[in-house]
Amino acid sequence: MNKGFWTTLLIVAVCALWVAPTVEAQEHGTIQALATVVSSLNVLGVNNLNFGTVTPGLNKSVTRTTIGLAGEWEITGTVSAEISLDFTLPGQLYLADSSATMTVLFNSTDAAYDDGTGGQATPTAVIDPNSPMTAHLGIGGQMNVWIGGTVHPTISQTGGNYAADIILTVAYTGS
Amino acid sequence: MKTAAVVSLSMIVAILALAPEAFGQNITVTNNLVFGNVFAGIPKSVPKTDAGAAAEFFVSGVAGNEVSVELTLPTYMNAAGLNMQLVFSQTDCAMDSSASPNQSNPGYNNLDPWHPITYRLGSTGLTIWLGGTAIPKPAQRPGNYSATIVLTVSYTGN
Repeated sequence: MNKGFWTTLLIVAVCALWVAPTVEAQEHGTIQALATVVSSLNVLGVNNLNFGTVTPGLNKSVTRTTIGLAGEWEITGTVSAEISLDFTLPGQLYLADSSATMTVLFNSTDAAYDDGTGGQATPTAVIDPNSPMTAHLGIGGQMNVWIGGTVHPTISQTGGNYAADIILTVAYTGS
Repeated sequence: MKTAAVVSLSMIVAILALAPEAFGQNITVTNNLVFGNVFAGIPKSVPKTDAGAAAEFFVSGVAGNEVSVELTLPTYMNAAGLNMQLVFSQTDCAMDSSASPNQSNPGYNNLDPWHPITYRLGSTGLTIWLGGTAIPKPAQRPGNYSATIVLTVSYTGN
C-alpha cells in the first residue's frame, strides 16, 4: 500500500507539473500610421501685364500696384502651406509675326504677393521676380501675386502689338 | 501513514513551487505614427526621434527577461480605395529599456523593423519607437490615409 500511495503521489506531481503554465506568453499592440494628403495647388492668371500704348524711344513702366494693368495670378491650395514661387520672365516682347522685338525688364521690386491680409496696394511682401522664393498661403489657403515691369522701345521701334509669356510656377515645398 | 501523506503533499507543493510561472507582458500604445499633412509628389519622413509623431510603444513585464519584438508592417496606407506607399528603412526602429527612456539617444538604436529584434526588459520595461516615410504619387488624391502596424512581443525564455 505504501508503494502504491507513493506512486500515485508521484503521478499527481508529474501531472501537476505537466499542466503548469509555461513562460511562453505573447502580447500584441496595434497602432495606426496616419497621413492626410492635402488638396492640389491651383494657379490662375487673372490679369495680363498690360503696357498699353508705347511711344518709340520712351520707356514705359507699369507698377505692380496698378490695378488692371499689373500682371496678376490667383493661387489656391492648403491653408498656410509653404509654396515656392518661380517666375519665367521674357527678355523681349515680340510682334505677332516675330519680325520685331522690344526689350522688357523686371527689377528686384517689381513683384509682390498678398496672403489675404493686405491687398495689391499694401501686399504682404514685395519680392524679386528674377529669383525663386518661398512663401506661405494665407489662412484661407489663398495668395495673389502681382508683377509690374518696364518696356524699352527703341527710337525706331516697329509699330504693332507685342506680346510674350510670363510664367509663374508654383509648387508645395512639403513644409 | 498520516505523517507520510503530509510529507508527500508538502513535496508536491514544493515541486509545483519550482515550476515555471507564466509571466505576461503588456503593451501600451503611446503614440501613432503621424505624418500630418502630406503633399502630392513630395515624400515625407517621420524620424523615430520625432516625439509626438513617431510611433511609440511601451512594453512592461519581468525586468531582465529577454523578449522578442516583431513588427508587422504595412507597405501602403489606404483611404477609401486609394493607396499611398509607406516605407520603413532598416534603421527606422529604436528601443530603450533604461529607467528614463531617451528618444533622442536611445540605448538600442538604428534597428531593422522588418526582422524580429531581441532585447531585455529593463526595470521599468521597454520603450520602442518607429519612424517611416510616406511616398505620395505626383497625382496622389487628397484624403485621410491610414494603415495598421502590429507589434508582437513574447518572452524568449532566456
